[in-house]
Amino acid sequence: MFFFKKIRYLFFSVFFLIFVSVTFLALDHENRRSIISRILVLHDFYRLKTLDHGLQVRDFSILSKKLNDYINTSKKFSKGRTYMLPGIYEATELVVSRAITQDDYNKLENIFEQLLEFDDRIYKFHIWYARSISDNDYEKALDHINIAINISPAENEAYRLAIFISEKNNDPKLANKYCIKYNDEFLGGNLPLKYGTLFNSYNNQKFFLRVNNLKDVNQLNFINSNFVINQSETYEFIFDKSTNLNGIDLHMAPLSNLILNIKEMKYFSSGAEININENDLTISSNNSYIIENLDNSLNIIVSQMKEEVLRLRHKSLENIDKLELSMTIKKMQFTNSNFCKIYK
Amino acid sequence: MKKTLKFLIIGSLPFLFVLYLTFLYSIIKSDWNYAHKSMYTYQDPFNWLEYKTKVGVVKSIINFRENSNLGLKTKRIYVEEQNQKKLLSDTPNSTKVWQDGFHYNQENKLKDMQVRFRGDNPRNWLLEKKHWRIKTRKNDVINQKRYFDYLPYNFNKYFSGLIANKIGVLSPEFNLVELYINDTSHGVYIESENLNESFLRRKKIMPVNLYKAENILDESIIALEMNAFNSPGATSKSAIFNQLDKEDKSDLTFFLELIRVSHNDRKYFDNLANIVGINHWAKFTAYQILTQNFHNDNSHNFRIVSDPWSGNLIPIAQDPLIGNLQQKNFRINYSSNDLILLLNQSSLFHHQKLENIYRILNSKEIENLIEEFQRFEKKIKISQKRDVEELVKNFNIFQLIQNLYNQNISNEKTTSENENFLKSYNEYLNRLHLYIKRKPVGGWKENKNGLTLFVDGDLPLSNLRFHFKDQKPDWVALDLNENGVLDKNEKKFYFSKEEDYLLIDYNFYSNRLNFIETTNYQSHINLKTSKTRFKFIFDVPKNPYKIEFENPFTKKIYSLEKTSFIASPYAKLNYPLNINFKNEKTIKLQGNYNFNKTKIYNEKVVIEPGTKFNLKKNVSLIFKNQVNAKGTTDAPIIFQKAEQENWGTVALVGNSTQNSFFENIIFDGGSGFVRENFTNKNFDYFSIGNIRFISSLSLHNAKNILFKNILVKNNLSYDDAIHVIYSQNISFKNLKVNKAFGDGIDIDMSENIYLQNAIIKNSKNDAVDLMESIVFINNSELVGSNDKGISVGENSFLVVKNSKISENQVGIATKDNSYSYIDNLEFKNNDFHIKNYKKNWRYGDGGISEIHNSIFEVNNSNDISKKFNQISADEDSSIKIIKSKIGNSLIDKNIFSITKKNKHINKISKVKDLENQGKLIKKND
Repeated sequence: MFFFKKIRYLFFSVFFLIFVSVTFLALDHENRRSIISRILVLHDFYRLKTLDHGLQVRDFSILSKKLNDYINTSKKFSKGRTYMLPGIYEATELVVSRAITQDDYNKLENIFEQLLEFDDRIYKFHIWYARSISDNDYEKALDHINIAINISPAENEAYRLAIFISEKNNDPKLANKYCIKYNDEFLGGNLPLKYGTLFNSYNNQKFFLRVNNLKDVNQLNFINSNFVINQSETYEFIFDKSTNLNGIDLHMAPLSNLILNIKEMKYFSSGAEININENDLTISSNNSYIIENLDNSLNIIVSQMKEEVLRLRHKSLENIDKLELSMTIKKMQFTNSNFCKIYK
Repeated sequence: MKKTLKFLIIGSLPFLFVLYLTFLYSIIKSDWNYAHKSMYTYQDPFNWLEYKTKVGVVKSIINFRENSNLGLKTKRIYVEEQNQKKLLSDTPNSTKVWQDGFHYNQENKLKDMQVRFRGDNPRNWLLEKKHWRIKTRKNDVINQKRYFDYLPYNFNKYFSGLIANKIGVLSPEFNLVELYINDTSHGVYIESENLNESFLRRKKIMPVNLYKAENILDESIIALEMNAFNSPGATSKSAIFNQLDKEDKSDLTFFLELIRVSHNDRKYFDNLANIVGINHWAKFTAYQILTQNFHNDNSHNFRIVSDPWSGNLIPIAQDPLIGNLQQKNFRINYSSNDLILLLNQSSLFHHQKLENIYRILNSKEIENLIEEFQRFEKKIKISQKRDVEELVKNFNIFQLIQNLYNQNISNEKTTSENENFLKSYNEYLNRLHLYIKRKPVGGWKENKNGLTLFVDGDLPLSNLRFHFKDQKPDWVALDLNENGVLDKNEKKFYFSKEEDYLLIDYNFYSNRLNFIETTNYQSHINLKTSKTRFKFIFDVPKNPYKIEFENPFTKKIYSLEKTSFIASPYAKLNYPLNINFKNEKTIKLQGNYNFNKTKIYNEKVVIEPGTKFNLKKNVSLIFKNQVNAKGTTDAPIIFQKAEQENWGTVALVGNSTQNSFFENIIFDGGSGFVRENFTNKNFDYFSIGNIRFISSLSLHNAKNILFKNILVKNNLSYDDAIHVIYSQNISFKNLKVNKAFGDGIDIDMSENIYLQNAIIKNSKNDAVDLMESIVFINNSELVGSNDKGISVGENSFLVVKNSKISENQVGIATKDNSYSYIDNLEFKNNDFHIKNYKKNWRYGDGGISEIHNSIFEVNNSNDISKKFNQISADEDSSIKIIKSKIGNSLIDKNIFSITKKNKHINKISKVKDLENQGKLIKKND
């Protein structure tokens, strides 16, 4: 009797609790919003954590199953893409980053197929799917590579995969075609899921210049400019007032690995020119590397997908109102000239 | 009694409890769909309980006493509850799935249609007043529109849209209606149109690519650069140029490349300014400033038309509004996307932008709109009395109940808000007007061998007048590179005989610099104006005693102060601007020329008699300025193949070619020219790579040109022998075209094109093909075409007289809202002489032919019933035959459209009026 009474109390307590919770959730819109948002964030985090074991033991069958569960949960809410898609993307990206063999990719093929059904405008969905089918239908894989290139032409994964397929099929002409295309392409970009870069995305378009002003070293005054890839270009920077300076910072967030070759720095003070020689420069950076060539020229190797600050310093100059910076910016090659005749 | 009451209360508790839970569930579900379910959709917390309660109360009050006063024009649609539920069954995807319904069309007939919600923001479909899109049947097209958007009325949006329409910015049209769904008023809606191919045609733009970037909310593309000016993958097409692959975005990429190289190179920038359609962009930015509408950027509300026929990239004002109106900051240099950011830095563009603002403000167009709106507002108020959302917005239960009895359920608060807004907007426009009319800021000082002046702010120093006392210099020059000496490219200015001052007829603008003061990404950049200097040198060190300048818009003259200052040098794109500059240089061509690569002439060209152009494969000659090519009968000017393969095109492009003249010319062996013909992306590529030429002789955006004694033959590969597009007043006298590869002469979106004594024989398609054009043909022969003698299509108007149409598959086909006025023609050996029909559903009509004094030869001359076999009209088309002969029979006959009889009779009578006014007799008659 006492047992049944207890059960009854328990039942009513649970029922009451649910009732109160639902009422609270429905009527308090501020808290409802924050509670549901937190639950959803927790869910995404949980899904990533469930991948840990599979990633540690490199078991792509487990990983495929976990991703599939994630996708199925999303489909329970809606057949199309839901708020979960970015989370699914992130989880899949993590899994793919560990995949090496064809078998690894084959185990994930079903996942990639479903992802493409969610949204076929996403660059990496095509790349992943193309990689997974490259063993038994390379023509279809190339179709997906081409779609990916149309989505984000300058990103390198598509071209690397095309070279991989050309290599497997012993087709140097195909490899050469993709190499040339890669070299020419400058458009597109990668927008990180969780943050914006200095230029919103990693791209081969934008950079800005900050003057190292001797009177105000910490000043935040950035002059925007645009890269022109693969050609020598003189970039003009007009200062809004005469400045005493001892160098400049170049800020960029490139999509591709770039080789930057500074040809000339020409300052102007009331019309008078002041040339700064490469030999008079000191260069430092956050992530880049420098190659000093035999002819004393410098190649600055800027890493892709990193926000970079190149610090160029020289002697102090006064009353500068304009800078003309001549430089060549090239995309680095990702294969050798046997594959890519353009590099010869 | 007590017991019963107790029983009832306890008995109804579970029911009330379930009801309560259902209500709670509906709130949580609404909120889930509203703020959590869709990708990248963040909303502020929303009090659904309060909203649903208010809606319930307002609806009950509105229903309590029916208000049947007539307000705005009504639009009635009918969508079953079941189908409305389907639209919300699996948001956001289900909102885009078309559901069946009905609507009353403009003829007040109930017709089938389909309906769905519009937009990705859950607000658009979860609140009481939803955003609708309807699609009528193809045979129920209304004024060339099939898709209609219905957006809840927002005064701000509506008025900004009206301004865009009024000042000629490419934008959808906005009308106000009262929308009834299932015979219940849903209040005031803005009826707008969808941006698609039909939109382009209505705006007299060819069906070309219309790009859209909308990377927000559920439409965002994961992990992709959103900036459409750097990421073609972030764009989709709302209309497609059908001569290229659906996925082909090379036209957009062309501009993205050119924009990039233009930043630091004036030569390329000038190219960009020439070809991008700078007038469209100047008007667009003027509109932005007038309305402070910067509600568009590189990835949102981005709509542009890429037109390979004009070569222009044209912006569309999408989702307009009137932004925050500030007291002093007019955001003249606020740049909402990367192209505007680049253009804004140039003096050329900045000048055109200010000129547009000044012109619009002077014209009082917007003030007139305000007055028009005020007259119209009464009707809006009546319809708003039935508008639930409007009343919920400023909910006041006592007010509502009080108003219930006098049927005055309007929202007076909103009305007075609108009035106040219009008042403050008017004030804003006045302030802006005064700002442009004020004295520009500047000064000058002496230097070693001349003087330096500075300019600051948005307005320029224009038309400088240097006044000297006794000793005057012979010349003054602009020291562009500031090296203190006169260089080759630096222009000298001299005294004119009439004036005692030296005039520098240039505009000097201050730099607009692309600075930011944060490392946070900025989608909109407000360019910063800075004090900018311009240096002048004199031949003798003698300075003026006075310098005057103009405000170029008001033409008011001011004196420039002598002062000391520090200023920056002018930026590359902010060069001193001479708006009256015209390239008057003339090139004379005479003799034999061999061209291995395409040549673009920006100068005036005179071609002497007997000149021969031997052109290699795909090599083209593009004229962007006036051409005077006068051959003689004995010594014609010849464009011919240098080798076996066909050359490209001879093209006249742009307004500057007007008044060109071609006489005794032979075009032998042309084809066409497209961007892909360039082997590398050189300067020429960026000069004309945006235009597609598909004929031997191409006229794009040309005006007032005369061709006389012209022979075009042996064209191949692309399409037409002659292609005339976006042109006006083009005359061909004594034209011969033989064996055209496609059409003999293809005329698109052009007006007043005259063909006199034209003989067009054996064309592979049509002899003459018209689309959205007005054409006059006289005394011509159109013979042996595989398709039509004349194809009068897609809203064209043709007058053809005194001509012979023979041995074509169809003599004259008039289609799709076109009209042919035919007088004194001889039709012979055509499979069909006249064939009128509806082909393209977008025009919603067939063709009309009015035939006078013509002779039709028929095959079965004795059988009267068969005589008309060669003259046919479908149910949407009409033919009126007057005083003509079919075989041997004189005939007057009307074949009227079954579906459009009244409309066609009206149209015929309008043309009759034109005939009576003598407007159908043109200069070639």
